[in-house]
Amino acid sequence: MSSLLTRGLPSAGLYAGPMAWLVSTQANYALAAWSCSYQFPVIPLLAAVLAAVSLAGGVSSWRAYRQPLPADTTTVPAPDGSQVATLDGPEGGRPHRMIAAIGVLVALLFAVVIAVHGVAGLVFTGCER
Amino acid sequence: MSDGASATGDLRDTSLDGPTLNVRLSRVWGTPRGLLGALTTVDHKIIGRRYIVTAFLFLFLGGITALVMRLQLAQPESGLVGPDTYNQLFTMHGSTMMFLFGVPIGEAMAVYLVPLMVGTRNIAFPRLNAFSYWVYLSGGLFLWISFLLNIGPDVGWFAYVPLSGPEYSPGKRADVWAQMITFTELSGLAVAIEIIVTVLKQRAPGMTLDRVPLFVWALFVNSFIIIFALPAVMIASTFLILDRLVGTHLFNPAEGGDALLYQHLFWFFGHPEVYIIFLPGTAFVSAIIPTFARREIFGYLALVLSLIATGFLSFGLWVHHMFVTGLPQLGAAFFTASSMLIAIPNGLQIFCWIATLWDGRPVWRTPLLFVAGFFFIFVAGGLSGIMLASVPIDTQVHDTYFVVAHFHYVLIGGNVFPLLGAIYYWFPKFTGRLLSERLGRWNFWLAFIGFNVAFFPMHISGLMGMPRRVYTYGPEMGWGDLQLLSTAGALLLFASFVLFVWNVAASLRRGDVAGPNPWNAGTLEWATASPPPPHNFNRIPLVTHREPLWAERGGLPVVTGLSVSHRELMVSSVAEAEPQLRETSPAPSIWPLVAAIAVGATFIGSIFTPYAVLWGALPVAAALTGWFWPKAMPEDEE
Amino acid sequence: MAGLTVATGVVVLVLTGLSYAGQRRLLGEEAAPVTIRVIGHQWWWEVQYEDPQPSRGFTTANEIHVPVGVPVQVKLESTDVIHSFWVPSLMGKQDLIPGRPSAIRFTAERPGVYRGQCAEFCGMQHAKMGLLVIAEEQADFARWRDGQVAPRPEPASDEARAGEAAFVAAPCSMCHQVRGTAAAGRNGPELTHVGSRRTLAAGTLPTSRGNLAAWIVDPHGIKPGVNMPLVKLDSDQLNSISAYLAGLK
Repeated sequence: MSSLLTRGLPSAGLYAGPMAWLVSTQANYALAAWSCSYQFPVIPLLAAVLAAVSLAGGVSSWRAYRQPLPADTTTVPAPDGSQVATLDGPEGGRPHRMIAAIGVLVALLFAVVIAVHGVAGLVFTGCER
Repeated sequence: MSDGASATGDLRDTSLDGPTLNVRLSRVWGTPRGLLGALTTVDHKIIGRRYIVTAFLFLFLGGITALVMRLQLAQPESGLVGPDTYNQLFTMHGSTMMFLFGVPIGEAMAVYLVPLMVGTRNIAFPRLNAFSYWVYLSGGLFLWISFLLNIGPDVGWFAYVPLSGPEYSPGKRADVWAQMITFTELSGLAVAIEIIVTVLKQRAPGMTLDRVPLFVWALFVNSFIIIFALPAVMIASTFLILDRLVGTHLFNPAEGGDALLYQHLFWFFGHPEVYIIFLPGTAFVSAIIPTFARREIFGYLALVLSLIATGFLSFGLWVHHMFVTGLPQLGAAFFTASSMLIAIPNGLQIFCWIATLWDGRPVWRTPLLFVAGFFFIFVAGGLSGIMLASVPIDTQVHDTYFVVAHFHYVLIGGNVFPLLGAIYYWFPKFTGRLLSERLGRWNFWLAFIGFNVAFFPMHISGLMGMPRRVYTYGPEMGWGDLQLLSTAGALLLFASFVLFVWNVAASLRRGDVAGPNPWNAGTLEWATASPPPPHNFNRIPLVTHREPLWAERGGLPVVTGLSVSHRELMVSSVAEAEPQLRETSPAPSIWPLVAAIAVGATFIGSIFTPYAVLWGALPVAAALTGWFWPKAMPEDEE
Repeated sequence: MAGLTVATGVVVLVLTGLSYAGQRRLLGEEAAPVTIRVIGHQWWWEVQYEDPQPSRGFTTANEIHVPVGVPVQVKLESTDVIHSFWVPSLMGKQDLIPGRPSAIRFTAERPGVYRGQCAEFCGMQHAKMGLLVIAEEQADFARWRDGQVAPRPEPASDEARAGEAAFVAAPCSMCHQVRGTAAAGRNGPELTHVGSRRTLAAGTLPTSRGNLAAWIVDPHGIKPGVNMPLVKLDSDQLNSISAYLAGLK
């Protein structure tokens, strides 16, 4: 388990970001009325927590990105035989690294979206109709 | 893997070569000739062609309804059609375009091209594929025959309650709509499952996830959107049928139900639906651009990222269709946020595509012309979309012609223009002949000009206060001139489609003959004959690059060892596409058709009586039993 | 590429912020001295003016008067299907959803006659469900309001008196109310001061004696599918009733 934390999981950001955002969308919508009644900024707080969850997933993906996985060597050698292909090169062959990069960026994007939800919670009281 | 025949008589392809291999595989994988062959085929190319032709037929039918509407609205107080007919026309137009054309055409192109592009012999679950086509065809025929018999729906393609409920829509019209949904969504879900499994498990060895063509990525993500979105509308339409037929009150506020629940269920599907229609457009664009820019795509990672982000985000936008229903402003604000921020992945895609063209050496053939048209029209639609995402703006333009303009820009720009380009691109692969380039240019310009003349004025009509879904308007409103202009544009646009059909018909017989790769493209479908043999590839290719045909100009390396005596394909691992299994693939079967008939009869019967579900279960069970009856398979020896 | 994406993100975030600011300004809560209930029907607008003194409340149809410069609250309800209340020059729209009452606020800054139209597809005659909002100076508004609160004006001529008798005896009184007579039906628009309204049939026809007759004679020719049935009247009844209604100012 701890080795997973240090090694990172390439798809962690892909899971954490969208899941946190889905929870944010649903919970925020349900809490809009509650926040009007209780006048408590639950939505910005929830947004901060969920954005942190998303970013944590991104961190795990980043760790995986930095460490080349054994399974990430190609099943057949790249045409020029080298192993230092750039991430986005057309010869491909490094799927886990691609997933890890996508995991980082997706986690970032969804953290931004969750944060904007939180800002909405600061702008509105929930009682406006 | 051993050469030659094994003890059970299973001949492998290792020892055979060239023409012999082609002949033997064609025999094993081919579809029998004649009517029985047509009804039992499980060949994804034959089924894919049927899907494409049927979807285009519905496009035309939808276009004719639009033309009649446009003729009615060209003048104020026109008596061309009355309110009842007009209400049916716009319901049929929306329902046909969204359910019978927009989603199926993307699936159709996927069914034909994805197995070829990932280097396999058939789509996953071939009999389910056949079944899904029959169900789709049945649903479409059910809707259109009902319309021609004057029991077609008249409550809009979205059929809001209470208008579509038992009290305000007596008769069977709304039930026809609701059950058509069930048909088409069942079909859509089936194809989505097939695509996902094909892409994850049947890729050619060496096609790691980062070597998968963007076309395939787009349709793969699209399939996930379909799986999560379609159940919501099936629930909405089923609840509607229950309220209408069985006497539930799910949507009846007088008995504790909620009219707005319907809208949430519908739009939870409805917003991802438009991305289900848009994403295949991105698939076509991502395939056409590298070929005609003569360089590999710029920003592969960014494009995959955009597809995945768009897929997820599309589920967080739905309330923007409900901004004027009196919901709390804070609630609406969340959906403004997601609706605006989805512009980031969409914009990223556009930047990458333009960068590829900028950095390449573009060849302006017809497919690329249509892609250019897509850029202009879709981006314009995206800009009006950003405006609509804002609640204050939306309270003015919601349910006006401004919205009509917006969604036609994004849907026709984002789906139809790339689709036409895609047909010009892949027609030689489907048929072995090229479409006329000269007619193609006329087609493009007529469509581009006609479209803009038809739909741009609608932005202004909406801003002048013209609401949607009105069968007529008074001359004092001042909307007449712009409406007349829109009608003129619509006629031009329709003419461009007539020209398209002419081009197809003429080119089928007299077009230039095309070899395997007339465009010098890089992906695997161009490695086989035009049209492809029933088994797609004589041997499964070995992939070492994103554009395999560009990387291996001397000839593709291949994998050997698959059987030639029965239908066999290769199953590989998810991320690295390492070969794992030789998998038997089903032969032609009558059971998909029989099951589709049983399911169709059950669906149609159930709008008249709930007992149809009970009685219909019997033939459905019988058909499924026949379908899944175990067959004796020769076991592998090694 | 990263730069362009970040720039797009910044633009979109700024637009989101502006949108939120707009939402707050336009749609926040504020007190409104004038309150009106609008109840949507298939294909007309029932308008009820509320007043702290119940005896000063009244009902009319399809035409709303408001004082200039004063915030007005419109409560929105529907008795049948979803409609949408929209007067483009005055405010954004909001839906009337059965079982979900809501409210909208606006202030007319300038006097004038503003046309509105139902903006949510509500069936056969959705296209002809219009309304008028007339913004006028305070004094004119007060005068109009007093006029509407009062029961119907006494019929001025013999023809009009005959018309009132015919109206009450005919099926008209089963659906329509004219305060000050025995006609007390609540299914259709209130007609106590129909002659004072500028349009008939929810903005479809200008009010005149001739158009009143035309509507009564053939409602389905003008608005196919309306809920008003065809009421057969002989020519004397038709003439007198249309004269009577035109005089209900």
